[in-house]
Amino acid sequence: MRALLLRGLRSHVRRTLMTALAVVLGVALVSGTLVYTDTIDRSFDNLTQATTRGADVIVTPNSEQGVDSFGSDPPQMPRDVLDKVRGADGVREAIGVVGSQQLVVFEKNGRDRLGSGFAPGVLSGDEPNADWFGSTRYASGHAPRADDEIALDRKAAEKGGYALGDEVPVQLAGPQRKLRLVGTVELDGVGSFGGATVAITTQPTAVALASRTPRNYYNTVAVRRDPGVSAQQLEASVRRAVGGEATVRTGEAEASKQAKDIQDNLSFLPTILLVFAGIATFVGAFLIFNTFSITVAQRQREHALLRALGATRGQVRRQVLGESLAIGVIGSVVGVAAGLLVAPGLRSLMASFGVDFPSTSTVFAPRTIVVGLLVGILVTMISSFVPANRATRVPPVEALREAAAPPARGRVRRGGVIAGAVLAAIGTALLLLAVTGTIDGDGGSAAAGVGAALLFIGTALLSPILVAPLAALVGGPMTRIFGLPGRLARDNAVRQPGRTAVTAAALMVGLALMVFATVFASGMRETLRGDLEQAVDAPVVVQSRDGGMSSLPPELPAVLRRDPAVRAAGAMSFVSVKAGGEQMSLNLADPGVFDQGLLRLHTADGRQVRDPGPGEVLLGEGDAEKLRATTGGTIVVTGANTRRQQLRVIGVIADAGFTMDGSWVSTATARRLADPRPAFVLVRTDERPQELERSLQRDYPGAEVQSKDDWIGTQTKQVDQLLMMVYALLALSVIVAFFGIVNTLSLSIAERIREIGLLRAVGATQRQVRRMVTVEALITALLGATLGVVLGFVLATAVGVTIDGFALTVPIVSIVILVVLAGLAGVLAARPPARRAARIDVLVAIGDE
Amino acid sequence: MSPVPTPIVQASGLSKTYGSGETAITALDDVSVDFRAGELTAIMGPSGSGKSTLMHCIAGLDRADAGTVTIDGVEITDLDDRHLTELRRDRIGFVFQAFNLLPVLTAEENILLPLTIAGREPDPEWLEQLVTTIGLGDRRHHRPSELSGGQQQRVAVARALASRPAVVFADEPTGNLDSRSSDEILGLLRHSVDGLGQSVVMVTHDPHAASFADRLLVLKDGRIVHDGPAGGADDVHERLRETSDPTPTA
Ligand SMILES: Nc1ncnc2c1ncn2[C@@H]1O[C@H](COP(=O)(O)OP(=O)(O)O)[C@@H](O)[C@H]1O
Ligand SMILES: [Mg+2]
Repeated sequence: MRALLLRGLRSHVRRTLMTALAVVLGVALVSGTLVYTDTIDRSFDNLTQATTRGADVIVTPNSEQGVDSFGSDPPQMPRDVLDKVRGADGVREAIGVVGSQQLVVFEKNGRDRLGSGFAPGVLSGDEPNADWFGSTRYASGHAPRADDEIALDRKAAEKGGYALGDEVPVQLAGPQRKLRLVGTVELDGVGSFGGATVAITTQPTAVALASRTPRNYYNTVAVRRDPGVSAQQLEASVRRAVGGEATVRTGEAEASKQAKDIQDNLSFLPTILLVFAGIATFVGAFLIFNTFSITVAQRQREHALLRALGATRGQVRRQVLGESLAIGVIGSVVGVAAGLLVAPGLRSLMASFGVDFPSTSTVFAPRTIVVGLLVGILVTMISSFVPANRATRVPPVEALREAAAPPARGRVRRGGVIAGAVLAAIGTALLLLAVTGTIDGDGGSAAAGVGAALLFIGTALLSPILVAPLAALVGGPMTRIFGLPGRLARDNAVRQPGRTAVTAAALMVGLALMVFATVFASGMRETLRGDLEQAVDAPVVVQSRDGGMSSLPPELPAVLRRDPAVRAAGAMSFVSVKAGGEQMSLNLADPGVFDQGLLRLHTADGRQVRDPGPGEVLLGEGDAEKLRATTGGTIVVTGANTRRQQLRVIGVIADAGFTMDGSWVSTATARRLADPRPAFVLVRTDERPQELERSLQRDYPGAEVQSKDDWIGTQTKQVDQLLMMVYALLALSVIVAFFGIVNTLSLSIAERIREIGLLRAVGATQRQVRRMVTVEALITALLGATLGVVLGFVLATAVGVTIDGFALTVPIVSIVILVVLAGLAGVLAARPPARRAARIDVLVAIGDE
Repeated sequence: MSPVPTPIVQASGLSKTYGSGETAITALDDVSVDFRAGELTAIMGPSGSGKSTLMHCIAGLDRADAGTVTIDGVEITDLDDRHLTELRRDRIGFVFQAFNLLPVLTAEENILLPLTIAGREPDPEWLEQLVTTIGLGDRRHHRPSELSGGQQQRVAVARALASRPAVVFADEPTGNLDSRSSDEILGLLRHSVDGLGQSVVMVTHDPHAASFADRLLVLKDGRIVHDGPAGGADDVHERLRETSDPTPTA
């Protein structure tokens, strides 16, 4: 039996390779994701260790766990903490670092930000002689000594084309400043801290740039111990000295805490990528299932002969499963290894969307190998189980029958259709439970995932009944255009409805998700546009030139108000706080934002919202529901700096819409909880945006002034960016489906060699044969596309209707483009099998064999 | 009509060798032969004598190593694949031993296949005549799987005649049929020559089948060893016996 198995694999090298390829691609994405994220984790580990290496104890501000500092700077410690630390027993030396993560380093033109996307600009103002702290190594030049000097990380300097002696424009608080580059640094041999731009200045310069006050001063205090004192002893004595004012940890503990925080913050990344890897693997399962179904059907006589010669059902099943095991193992091993190539690919993909994490040395953990192999082998085995079972049901008498020509018209298995309907129904139910929030949290995500998978499988099982009508629909015009080849293609597609359906279904999955994302994103875009158009009543908006990614200097609204043509200007910013045990985002409004009508929102009773005063909060509908708070009540929030604040609810906003739904406090109130920075400034002015921008050119060249409409445009563009990323990640699934078409067609053609030979003998040209195969692929692809579009649309609608105020739109153009691309992919996929079909030797085909 | 029948297919000096060196097999050895219009020719000979190879070469399905073939005045030796294909489509009809019909097409569609491939409109009267001739009756819209072997083969003959080709080649057309169905097919081929003026070249190893022919060619080791009128089945037997080895086995 084993010899037979090997013979089978070897004699169908092409098919074996194609099937293995489906495994390879899915597993490669799984393994690539693991390698990529492990590498990021390790790199951050290395970096945090490197940046704390010289310190025995590190003192950091108290900070609330689970509250991020999105849109604001992390908390600082008061200035006198350093003196207290220095007074503690066992301290040989202590330095304070003043820093920020909101620094904007500009390109040479002074307008555009250096570096892109989400990577922060890190400012570090060291004291002199601080070189023992961390492992900052100067690649060139020296540390800043004068207040107009700056050092950059090597990568940033290279990116900006800065050489020692060049002026580097920077901005944080206050007008843009130009500092002279005197050195470039490497962090533990790494040129860049995860895409972040790192700048080092003298401490006074950092204090000025970040406008630090004695109350909010140091980010970090690093301590070295006296000889004979242990790190733990030092930790205890420093803790005693600072009281509860700051958090004290050993250098080691601080490093691992930072690493863990980063890991927690990045945990979304492997999750998301693994979801896409899972989708690709899922699509691969369709391909594997199909390949095995076809080969089992084609080898019916071989199996019947084995049975006639006395092989048991178990032996036949084991032969098929053995083949699938071999393919699974080959595919998984190659896939796991290919993950090493996928990882850098993922990295550049993410980097192209502005998410650039450090990756020092590639981490290939044993876990990656185990998971990759398990996934690949299990998926292959499971996908081939049904075909293997089918093989055992071949009656031995089949062996005695005439060499069966492939049937002219296959039947749709009724059992399959019923099972499909049941699975689709269960899937839909699970999805509904998830989107309506009946099951929520992790359970909800799981229900949504399983539900979608069941819906896809169910639709795949159901779709054979759709093959004939859809093939007629698509095939009709094809027959008219291409004549006989079109007609034969249609008939061929219908001959094995199950086969065509599964091939199409593989494409359906990727396409449905693309359509889902497209419809959802387009709805999101329109919702956002509608919400902003309704709420924002400022003709002009100012934000940073990188599309609002970096924050604006805090004094900018005041500067704008000094312009005589400006009638009102108020900043909007965001901070995160904790409320009711969960993180909650607060929108901050400068005075006048509501009272002067820059934003217009209303409460349920129709009254226009006014500026929230000190200690007041305007709740969004969602937050009000979550916190069970009503007008007149109070809520308690905790800032990133651990301070608690009681807020009086002065109203619940009723008309903010889905994307603007959020709670508002005044900027002043939020300052007690965090260090917020303006995200954008709403301006009412008689000037045109260009005129206002020109007036800001000298001190704030990084500020972009846009009309309201243009600004809304840049906001909605971010949705498109996200959509592009989703497309890119789904592309692999579509590629797998593409191989599915190649494989199915190749196998079908091998089955129809005699027919094609006959066609050629009676005068069909090679071109006509090629066309026939191409049109069959086209029909299959369009079938998948149609199913995908419908399913994607249904899914998006289902999710959309559960969101209040979600503007469901039909992005016809995008959908048409997707369908056309799917068709083109089908045509492309048909090329190799079409060429092979056209080259079929007439003599071999009509021979006696 | 000219009094001397013009050759519809002319082969001269055809040679074909498979393999090389010691294992080389000469399938055709300098064969020159003409096939006249309006004649049913039977090609016989022992297995491996080169019958199929000869037929494939003169039908434009295969290329000889040497020699020339002219079909209906067209010299096919140097035609490229496309022109050869079109020649097959328009000027040649084929009947194979098995697997003559596309399973996805109905009987009638199969008959019209060469015309459809060429994108030509069928002549309804001609189609009627063909369907009537092969006696398909009400089964014309059935698929091949719903027809008996004999019916399938009759459809194949009609298909071969549909484009009114210059010549019909049939390779063992009755090889898979019982004797009644065989006679129907042979009668049809005979009728196509007598009634429709077709030219037919048929490879067979059945002397009874060969007795339907006007002319009998016997091949042996890639050479023509007999060329003459076919006569009855007994005559065919006689010719075969004469041309076989002096010490016949079994
Ligand atoms: N494709 C081929 N490769 C090698 N030898 C072949 C091939 N086709 C035919 N032959 C050989 O050529 C000879 C003639 O074959 P063929 O024309 O098929 O004979 P027939 O049809 O009379 O049985 C035989 O010896 C056969 O083995
Ligand atoms: Mg033969």
